[in-house]
Amino acid sequence: MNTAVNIENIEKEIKELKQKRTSQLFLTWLRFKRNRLSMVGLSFVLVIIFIAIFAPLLTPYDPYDTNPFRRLENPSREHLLGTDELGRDLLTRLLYGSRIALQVGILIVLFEGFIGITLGLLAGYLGRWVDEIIMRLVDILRSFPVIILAMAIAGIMGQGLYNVVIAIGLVGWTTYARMVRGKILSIKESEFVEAAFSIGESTPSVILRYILPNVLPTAVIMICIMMPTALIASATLSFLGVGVQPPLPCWGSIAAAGRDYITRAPWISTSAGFFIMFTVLGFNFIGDGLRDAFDPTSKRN
Amino acid sequence: MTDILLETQGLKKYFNSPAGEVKAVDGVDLIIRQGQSFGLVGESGCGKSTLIRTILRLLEPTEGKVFFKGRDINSYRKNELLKLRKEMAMVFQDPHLSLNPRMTVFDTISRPLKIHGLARKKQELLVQIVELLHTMGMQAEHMVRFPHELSGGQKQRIGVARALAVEPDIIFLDEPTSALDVSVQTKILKLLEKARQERNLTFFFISHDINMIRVVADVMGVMYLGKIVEIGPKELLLSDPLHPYTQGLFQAVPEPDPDKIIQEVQLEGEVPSPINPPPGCNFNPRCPFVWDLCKEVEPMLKELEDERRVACHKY
Amino acid sequence: MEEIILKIEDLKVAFDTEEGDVEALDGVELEVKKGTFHGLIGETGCGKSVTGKTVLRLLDNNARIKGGRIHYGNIDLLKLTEKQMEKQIRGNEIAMIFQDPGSSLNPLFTIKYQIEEAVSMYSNLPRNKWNQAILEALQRVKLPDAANLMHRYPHQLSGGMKQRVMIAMMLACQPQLLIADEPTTALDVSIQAQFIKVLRDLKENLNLTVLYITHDLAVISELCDYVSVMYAGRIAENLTTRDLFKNPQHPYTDKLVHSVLGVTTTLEALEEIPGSVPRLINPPAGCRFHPRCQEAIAICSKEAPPLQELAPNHTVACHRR
Repeated sequence: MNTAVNIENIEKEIKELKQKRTSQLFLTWLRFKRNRLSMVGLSFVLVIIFIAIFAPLLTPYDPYDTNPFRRLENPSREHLLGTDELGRDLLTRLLYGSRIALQVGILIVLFEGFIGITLGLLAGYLGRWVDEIIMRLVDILRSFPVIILAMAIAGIMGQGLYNVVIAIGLVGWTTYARMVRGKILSIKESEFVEAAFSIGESTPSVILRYILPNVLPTAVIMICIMMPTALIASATLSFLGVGVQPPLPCWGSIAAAGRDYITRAPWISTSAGFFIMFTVLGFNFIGDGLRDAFDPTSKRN
Repeated sequence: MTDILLETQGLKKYFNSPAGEVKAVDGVDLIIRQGQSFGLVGESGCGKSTLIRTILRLLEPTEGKVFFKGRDINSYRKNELLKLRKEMAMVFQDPHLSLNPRMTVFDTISRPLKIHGLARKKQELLVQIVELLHTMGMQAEHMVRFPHELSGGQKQRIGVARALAVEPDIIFLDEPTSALDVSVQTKILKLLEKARQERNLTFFFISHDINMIRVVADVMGVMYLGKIVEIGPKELLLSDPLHPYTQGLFQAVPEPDPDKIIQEVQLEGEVPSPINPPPGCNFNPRCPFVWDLCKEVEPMLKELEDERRVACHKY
Repeated sequence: MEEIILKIEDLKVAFDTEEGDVEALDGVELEVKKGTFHGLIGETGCGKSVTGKTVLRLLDNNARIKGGRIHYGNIDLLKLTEKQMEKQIRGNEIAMIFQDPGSSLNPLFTIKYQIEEAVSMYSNLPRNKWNQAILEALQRVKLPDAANLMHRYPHQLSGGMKQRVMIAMMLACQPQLLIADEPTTALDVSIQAQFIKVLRDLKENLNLTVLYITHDLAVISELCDYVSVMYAGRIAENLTTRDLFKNPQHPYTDKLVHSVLGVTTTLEALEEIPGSVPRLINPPAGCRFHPRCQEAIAICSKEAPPLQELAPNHTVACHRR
């Protein structure tokens, strides 16, 4: 038997087949695309990302240029949303604010996601006392009101962008840990993991090849779903004055500053609120869409 | 008489549960000979699944010994356990759950080959995998598929191919067809039998389906509440079951032939809890022939003529 | 001539799924005679459960009934409103039991309470007779110690007992027709045997009519008088149970019967059906069995064969017969 020739044929055949087949990711994208709401969310987020990248081109003003003679002006042709209490162009500050918002949001989910997924993995896989310790810690952290705890942490560590990330992340990871742990517990008991051990797979290999790939989609979805929560939390901290500090243009602190002039210049707080809502809504729709797209078994209504 | 391949002596596996100790496997003595096709029947919860997992050392036994090729498996150290994984393989009940959903067929079958060093280069892997796929009546093109792109029957054939890949001496089959449709079951059973003959394999089936065991096994065993109650050559067991539980169980099997007279069921009541099994013979509360002795003394698995053994005070 | 209690004509049901419309039922035709047990068999996804659920209109939200008639006596069930179904048909005329008895019972209430509730909704019995009726029903299904058992909660009963409670609940309401959807699939052999015995007893003593949906031919043989064989959303053959085993005409029926373990007792004699069950998203044209059929001829791939009468009580959908 001339297996050599055979094998070449087979290798060629497989290459062709691989090219022909639509990849898993592409199918997921198709399912995602069909969901109208998630496409709306995606366009919202793309708009915000566009603004963040091209902010300097979208506005002639500098977000830090103060002008004591033109404070709290009404919207006009010159200043579309008017000026703030220091005479800075409000729209410019809001546009630049998207940079801070995205930066903080992404850093928070990455930070809390990393801690949460790692600890969730450990708790779920190792079980026993490791699980006990991690999950009790989760319980304790979750029994505090998140914002107050984050305020306390921010208060201790001082203010600033990175401290906001750490403060929110140190509380936020619990959601990831719970989710990942739950998923691992069910995968660990599944027949294909038992089958892996029966063919002689080692424990690290089982974790790496069998458990992790099956947890990954959950983790990705989690990160998208947690994004809005992170954005709101950071905006809240800034609003309360323990977050990102002025003069950095941050939606939360702009909204807080506008509160003092809510009767004279109501558009300050409301337009900042609108930007927050717009972004959060966008991420929320994407998160929901992704969850449905990754899990085709969940029923479509 | 062929050589003994596998022997268990007083094998026990207990689990702890909030309600007490579950005696899932409670003293099993078995002998499996080289080249045999052994079929163990029992109802759900009788401990048959736990038994094979304990033999495979996927679960650690509570007590008792398992001899494989004359050597006690429980004395194997960790690195030797890998060798055991090459000699014993398993096919799982539900093909929809027993394949990693994120691995292609190629990856799934290549893992055992790589782990046991049976093929290293991609070329070697391809040759062997294609051969295994052909053995299971599948094509090379299936290699790039993920489990969800295969039908139930195809998935189970991949499950069998994975077990065959390591060239084991014995394959444990945990209800290999119960999750499949009738028209697909036949295919799997025939492919299994062909592979067994070609490769001189030993099979250890477990199932609740007596009709399935009747078709595939040479030697049959019956398990009830963690214990083997009867064991013997298939023909003798089917034509003349000795243990009252075996008799009742066989009668309970629905009879598809409308010409045969339907027998009245004798098995009344339900299986007691394995946490607190009845004293003496644990079948005594349901047994129509119960004596006082049965309620006090546990019957041993007695050897009768023709390689038959039964655990009942009647014999 | 026996009275026909249920007659399904040209029933078509489609499911709206991600991948497109799935024609789960495509022209199902069958008749159930009063006082008989009628088996409905087929493999996973052939539409047998959907047929049962359509009769009671218990389909999921994404299902659409595209056509056909379901005559119950002289009513067309498909013409009734949801409210009329609820008030007049479900429970008091036609009842259904499912595969998993655990999920059909409410864990928070006693058996007695749940049967009472059913009786109050579906039966005209005066209140002072309820206790008696419930006790009788429980005894009918051979539940031991019925008087005490009815005060227990579902979790205190085993699967087999729960399934019998479901039957008792149904009996207490005295429906004309029972649809049983794989009621014994989740049960062990010995428990299944006890359950079958109860049903057989009810058949003899109460003249019950049952549409029995299962994939298990052996159970059909023990219980049913007539059988409908389904394949890929269509009826392949309607026949008596005896003919099913002794004189199957449709090639699929024939293969199916001979691939059943128990009818055939050696591996060599077991029939194999090549290929696999088609996906209904894109079913084969013509006769849906033709790609797997050894007797297929040209017309089989073009036209769907109609059900034609071969003999009394025997209709088959095959171009070769």
